[in-house]
Amino acid sequence: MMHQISSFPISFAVFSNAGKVAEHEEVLPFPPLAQLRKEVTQWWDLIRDTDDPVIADLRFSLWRLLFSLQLTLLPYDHIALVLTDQLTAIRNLADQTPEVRERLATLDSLVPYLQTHPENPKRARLLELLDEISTDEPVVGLVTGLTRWPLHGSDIDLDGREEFVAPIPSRAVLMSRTFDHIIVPGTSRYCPFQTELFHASRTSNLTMIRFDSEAAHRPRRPTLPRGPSKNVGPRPLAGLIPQQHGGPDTTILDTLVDNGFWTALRRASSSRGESEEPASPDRQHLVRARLVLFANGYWMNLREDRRIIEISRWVDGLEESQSLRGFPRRKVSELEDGHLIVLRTMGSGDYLVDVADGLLKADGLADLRRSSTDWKATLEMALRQHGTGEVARRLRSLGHRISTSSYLWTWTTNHVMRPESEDLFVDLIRVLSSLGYSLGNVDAEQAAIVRWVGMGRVIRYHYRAGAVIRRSLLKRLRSLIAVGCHIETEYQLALEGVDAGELSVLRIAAVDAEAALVPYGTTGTLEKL
Amino acid sequence: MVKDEEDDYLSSMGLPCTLEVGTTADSQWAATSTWVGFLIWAGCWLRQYSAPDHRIVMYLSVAARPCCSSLIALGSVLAAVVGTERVRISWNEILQLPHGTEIHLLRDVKGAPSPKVRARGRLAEIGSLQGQVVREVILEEPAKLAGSKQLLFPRNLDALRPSRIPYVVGGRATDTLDLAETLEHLHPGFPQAWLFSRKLEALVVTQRSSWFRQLEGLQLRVTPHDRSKGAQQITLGAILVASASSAQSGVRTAVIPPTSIAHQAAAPLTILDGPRSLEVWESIRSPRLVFLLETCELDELILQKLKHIASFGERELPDGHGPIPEAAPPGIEMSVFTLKSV
Repeated sequence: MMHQISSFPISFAVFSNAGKVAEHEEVLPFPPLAQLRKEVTQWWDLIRDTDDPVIADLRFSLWRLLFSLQLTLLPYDHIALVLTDQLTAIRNLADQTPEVRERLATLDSLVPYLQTHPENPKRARLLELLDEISTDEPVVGLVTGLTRWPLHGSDIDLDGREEFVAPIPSRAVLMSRTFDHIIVPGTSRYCPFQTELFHASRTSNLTMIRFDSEAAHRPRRPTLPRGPSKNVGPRPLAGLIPQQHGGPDTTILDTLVDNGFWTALRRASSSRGESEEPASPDRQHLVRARLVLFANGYWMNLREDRRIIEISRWVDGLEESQSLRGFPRRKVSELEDGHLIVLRTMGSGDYLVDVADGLLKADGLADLRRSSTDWKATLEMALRQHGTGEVARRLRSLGHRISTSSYLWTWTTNHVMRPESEDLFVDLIRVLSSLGYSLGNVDAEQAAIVRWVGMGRVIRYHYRAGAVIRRSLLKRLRSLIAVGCHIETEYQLALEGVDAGELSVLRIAAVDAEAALVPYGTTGTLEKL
Repeated sequence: MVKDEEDDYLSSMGLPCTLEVGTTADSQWAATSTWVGFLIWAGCWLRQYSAPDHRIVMYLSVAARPCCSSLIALGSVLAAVVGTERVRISWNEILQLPHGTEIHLLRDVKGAPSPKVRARGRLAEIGSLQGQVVREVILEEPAKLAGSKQLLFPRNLDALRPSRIPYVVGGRATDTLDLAETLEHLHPGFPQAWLFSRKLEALVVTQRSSWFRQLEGLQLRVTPHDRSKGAQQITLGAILVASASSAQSGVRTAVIPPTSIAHQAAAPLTILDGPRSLEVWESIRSPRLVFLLETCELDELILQKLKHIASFGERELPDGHGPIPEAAPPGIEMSVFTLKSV
């Protein structure tokens, strides 16, 4: 059984660390990777048109190849690095890019060289270091979350030393406890919790191991602004590595990757499946959403108005399993790297609808949803053809208060079953009829009333489905937590007796700092990076 | 038990005892360290001084926030205890109070020394028993003792602790006794009336559930410099959130979430514990404000906000303010200034 970790001993240890922290840096020379980095930098210099999707893809593929090799703790011939596939993908993209086609020769020799000389100096030094410190310092934290983006070869295989190594994949895990020693096996330049790593005093021994080709990096310590009167700080400590921000050759790669990556992903997400549609908000259902990147290499646009089940504190052992009484939910804007969220990973992402449909089918009402909500597709056609403004204007002329015409789009989704009142719904169907969209051969009012009643019945099945899912999911999550299941990237959940499709617990690798307006249809579905 | 050799911050408070804060979980007692002493000192220092037409603002960045606001609040409570006039219900007062005056006692349960039970009665005749003056109390509560007599005389006052104000309801009477003992060590002859007065000493703006969880198991140990007196240990919760009876009850420290701040009365000291609490600072009317943040919470947005507030700050600290340390312990940074009250 896990125990609630008391706060005071952690605070006590943290303050104690703050007074005696020692940092060490080991820089490993490794010419093949230095050469690779130089080569990738030159490629990046040659191909700057990031608006071209092929070039954007090529730049990111090159960056990913380099960082997979720089940060991996596996031998270079390990299958998880998929080096041959990575090189093939780069070759295919380079074939479409005349500026760099001629430069392939260097990559073609470097990558196979590493595959045939697989000893990874960083891995060798890490294993040595673990052997040196394991006796005296039983709790060694190994930072595994060094980038926001999933990389090939990020698996941990320490030849049997795993038992005294605590992986630190996220800020939450780092901040939940203290460590006798923390090892950072690479540059912390892209680590989403780099400030906490250096300045949250979770250890008194911080060792960085990096290749000489990796950017030296130590973030600035956040300090209070100086007030007008008395300012008091601790006496300076010896044994700290000075603040550093990379070398001259890091600027191109290291600053462009972050912005470029998110820009490219946002572009891909907003254009997906909507290319034939006009971009006007009046004719398109746009919602505010955030791009969320998962550790398994997938990403999803999550609507900002959603609250998602997030269970990292329980799965990572920071809370007792018994304390999981309801679903702990977070707003999408509050999600961050390291969180574990529960999502439907096949289909629309809306498991409530699927479970409700299963219940409807069992009661012989399989067609009720379709027959009661067929007006949604009709409304969507009308909105695309005439715009939300026109439909809203007609509804207002009938005495209804429509404060935001774009809200009409919400009625086309499963997110909101129907308008708030029957009168409004009947008039909506009348408006559709007046615009030339009729629902069958009956008059608009009769068609509306039949559907209103049908939707009321469907809603009752949604309530039942919600209760079924809640019971089963909670039971499943509790058992998962109770057995101490560790989830590095993804865990598929089968709910006993519930046909909810495929549900998964997914580890978040990164969340876009900015929300964007995206087509509704692009939200809630997983896409491969 | 480890005792840190550097407790300068606490010794500057002039207490006749040493303080240690720790937890008894797993039979482990974590000793007071410099950071604990500094935070208690900070709360105490702030509570002792005021600046007319101004508010005293203290920025504190700490390596870890859990438990820190409790320690600052403790400092504020200690300053309030030490700074209050001495008031004690004496034998003479008992003799002078009119017949029928309501009085509250703590009585032993038969056969068990603790916990004590609360009793209520009314002062009656003054008489004599075996040559000493006694005063009768006719008990009304607990019900099974209603109508029976309790005699008061100088030698049983310490045990019965007669009070004009009811003892704790909904809490354990022994907590109050422990608290009284602890405060006696901190401030010999401390005002017992303070125990039962409705007086908010500190307001903490933060998430209630996590604050109370952090308080669980946290203990304060008070060891008088006078070694003839034993050490006294009490939960920090008993000092910070002890409440007396329904009528006159109060809490020393109120904890409210940032979302409810609009309804909160001003306290002598308010601790804005965490980034979310910082957003409501303008709604706080306290004359003393602490902005408590973890070092790694000082992001650009928060730093901008702190800089903005500090830009209205004034150089002058309160007249005659006590000494401020030249250096903070490792993991703590502090900035103090005054702001003109609006």
